Amino acid sequence: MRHLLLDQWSHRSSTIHSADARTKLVLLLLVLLTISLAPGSIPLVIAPILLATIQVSRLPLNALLIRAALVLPFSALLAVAIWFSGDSSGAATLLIKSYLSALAALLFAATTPLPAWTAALRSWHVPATLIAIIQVTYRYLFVIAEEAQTMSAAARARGGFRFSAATGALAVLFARSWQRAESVHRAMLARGYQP
Amino acid sequence: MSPLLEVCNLRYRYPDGTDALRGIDFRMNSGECVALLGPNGSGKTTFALHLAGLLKGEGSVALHGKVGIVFQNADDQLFMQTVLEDVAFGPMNQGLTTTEAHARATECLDRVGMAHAASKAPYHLSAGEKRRVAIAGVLAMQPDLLVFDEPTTSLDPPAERELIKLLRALPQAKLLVTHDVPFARALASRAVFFEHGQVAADGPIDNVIDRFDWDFPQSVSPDRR
Amino acid sequence: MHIPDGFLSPPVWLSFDAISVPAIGWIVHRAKKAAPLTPDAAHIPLLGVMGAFVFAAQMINFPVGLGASGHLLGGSLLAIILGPAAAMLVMTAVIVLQALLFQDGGVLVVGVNIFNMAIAGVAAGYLPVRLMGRSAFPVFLGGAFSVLVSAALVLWQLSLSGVAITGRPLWTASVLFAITAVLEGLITVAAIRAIGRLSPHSLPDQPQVSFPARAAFATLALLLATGGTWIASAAPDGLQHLAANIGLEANPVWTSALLDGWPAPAAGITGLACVYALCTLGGKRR
Repeated sequence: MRHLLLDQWSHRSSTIHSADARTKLVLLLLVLLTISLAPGSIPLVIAPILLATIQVSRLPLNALLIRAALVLPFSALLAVAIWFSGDSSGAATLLIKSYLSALAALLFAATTPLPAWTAALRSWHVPATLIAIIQVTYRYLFVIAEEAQTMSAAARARGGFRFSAATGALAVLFARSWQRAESVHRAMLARGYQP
Repeated sequence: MSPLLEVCNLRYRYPDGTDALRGIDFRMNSGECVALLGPNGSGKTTFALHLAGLLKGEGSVALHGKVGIVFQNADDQLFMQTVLEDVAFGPMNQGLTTTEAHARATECLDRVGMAHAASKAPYHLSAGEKRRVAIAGVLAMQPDLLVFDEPTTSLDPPAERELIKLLRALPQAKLLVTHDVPFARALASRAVFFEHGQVAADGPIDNVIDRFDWDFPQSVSPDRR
Repeated sequence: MHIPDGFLSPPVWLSFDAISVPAIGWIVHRAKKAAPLTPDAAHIPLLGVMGAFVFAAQMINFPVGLGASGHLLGGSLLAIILGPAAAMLVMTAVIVLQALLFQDGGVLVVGVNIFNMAIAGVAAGYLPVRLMGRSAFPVFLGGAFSVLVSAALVLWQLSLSGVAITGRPLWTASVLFAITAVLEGLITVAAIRAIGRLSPHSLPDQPQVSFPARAAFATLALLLATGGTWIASAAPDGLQHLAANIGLEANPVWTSALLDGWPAPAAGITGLACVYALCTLGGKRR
């Protein structure tokens, strides 16, 4: 799964990786603000800065550039809509801005493991409940996603999902997730958790 | 010397009305290793949950010590972000400071041979590794009795051998709920057999296995002569 | 429907980010006070696992004929099963993770996406079921509304930001959103029915009573506002005409570069807030 790359990337070591998560988050926001607010070609000044940072953090350049481009289809759709509404330069600018923003965000995520940035958010008074939900979601995201992929693969091997079969798979995925939540809760209680 | 665990006439009925346990009498001494065998639905897991204090039935469960339970699905037990945090979860709930909890967690990870994985995310571990981390998480609470629910699920033969070695080295009393007969034989000298929520047999493991024909049936083994 | 960075103007995304922050705080408070969802399940593990479920569920393809397929978005499904407050938290967590891990939706605008999908979308997805029960029609409406409200908000926010989508492209976008809405409704109905058969104990006995009738007025207001802004998006000059007609054209506020862009979203949100306040007061008098 795509995340696997992120997790390997975020656990590497470099000066960027070791930097404090809060500092990186603030820098990310500043970079995003600059891209968003600055007129014309200023955002292109950001690009070399991002590339340099990628080098310093010893991440695979091409992989990141390609991964950041995943945002382009949606942006392209919007850009096309805008182009046909008569604003062609606006469309191009928007495309560039959204790509650079995605690259910056990706760079942050690839150099900062989730426990680090959730701790940063927590220190900025994001509610602990929300942080905990984010962490548990992340923990089980790939486990449950794998289940979904297995079911989809099994279906593809038998001719693909019909609507009703897809619904059944969804319900099964849900039931198993619910049971899993009960098991996790039971395991927490068995080790002294007091809600 | 009083037994570590004494269960008298334990009865339990699920909310939907099924009688899961219908009068269980059971005793265990410190350091003993007992296998709990029986068909699916006979109440073995329900019994294990009672020992861990997660279910409460009628009758009595007298424990002279702490119980730790290792569940069948290791994924559902390793719910923290990193291995170290997960093993430290129990000690933290017991009131230790973060430093103390982490120290104890490291020690337990060392004991199960997983100290190198302390900062890894549980998702990246193999089935055998997850199993060992789960055991470390339970050991970290310093229990006197360890209950294992189907511990060899998903383990390949080498991992199963590692698990047997590990369990043999643990001094705590152990109750193994399992279908894996060779595994049970390797560790336990005594077996209890559950049937329909009752104890149908309690004695030397070979006797119990023979009596209920619980080993891999020789009649369907391929004839390779 | 996740808006990437770089599309919205600062007044727009700052306003919506600013609304989302206290809203989330309030929702966390409400979710904590709501009754446990089953005797056995604790909040955090359940909500976390449900978040993971949403991610995974979005991967299942539902064929809709002609080789195309859609997928579930999940806001209204969650609202029906977990109750609105918990569902809003789960969807918020999902959106944050989508933004940071998958760059699906921007980081600066995460508050906007949270407002559109996790708050307004979930509320709209819950309302019909809360008012009419869990039969097929209200469940369908819930699914459809959750998409329509989110989509309308996106179009409104884009138009407020001066991103011009008008005429034919707007109609195309609207049609696509409408199809997505219908699909969400259909999948949600089918899913609720299947879950009811497979795992009935996970569905609440009745729709939770945590959102009193005043929410009906609030969401109605939201629907009217978003419907109105959909129309306004189609004619962005409408506001200008109105301003000219009532003599505001020469007002320094309109022409000041510093405040450029603020009046429209500020007016819109103030208007919404007034309507909500009126409805809340009206609701309290009952």
